[in-house]
Amino acid sequence: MPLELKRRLGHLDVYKISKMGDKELGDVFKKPPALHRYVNKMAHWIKSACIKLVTEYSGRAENIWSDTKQASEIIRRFDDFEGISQKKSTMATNFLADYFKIPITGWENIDISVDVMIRRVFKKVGLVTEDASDDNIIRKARELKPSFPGDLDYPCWDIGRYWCLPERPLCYYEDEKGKDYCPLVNECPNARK
Amino acid sequence: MQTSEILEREKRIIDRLSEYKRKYGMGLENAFTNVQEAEAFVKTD
Repeated sequence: MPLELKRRLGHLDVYKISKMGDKELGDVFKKPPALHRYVNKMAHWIKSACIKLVTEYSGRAENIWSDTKQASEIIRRFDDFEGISQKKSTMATNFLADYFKIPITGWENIDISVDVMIRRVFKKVGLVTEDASDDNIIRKARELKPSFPGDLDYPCWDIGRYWCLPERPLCYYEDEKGKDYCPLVNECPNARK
Repeated sequence: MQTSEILEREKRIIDRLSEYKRKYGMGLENAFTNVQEAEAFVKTD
């Protein structure tokens, strides 16, 4: 989405976007193919984020994390953006710390970023019960990997996306190219041939 | 299932997930059209 938004606007200048009218920016999002399922809401959140960046971070996103090393503080700052919740704030901090190697401390505060894929894998493999809440999943991930609960995020998400499908999970999969199986198949009580 | 069996099973799950991440990274490797540009952005002082 950022790349396509840049193509349509001709820039990703937070100062310019923060001054755009709601309808003007909404129309950019609506142009087919629409940039998001909820175009008006997403356009509003992007403009709101740009205003916050301009007013609180001198117009530079990296100022969100450049003057602190604490993961909990960076997560709190992301959470302060309109439209951002636990999933995105922990995921962004996870990427900064683990992928981009920004010097961040307190990785124990980087929780798993719960979404539909994470929920499905945790429940199907029996790490939590079927009626578990997102908070239950977050607590379970902390229990499983206290030093860095967010470390479980990407593998679970990927397994949920490729193997642990809602209707017909590909626990064991075979086609003309060969055999494949879910990495958790030997530990999963719901695995089926 | 005994508590010790549950803990052993959970440890095996963590091992499988860690192994998966070691093998496939974090899924961001193909997320940017220009990785150098993205890395330069987040590392700007």
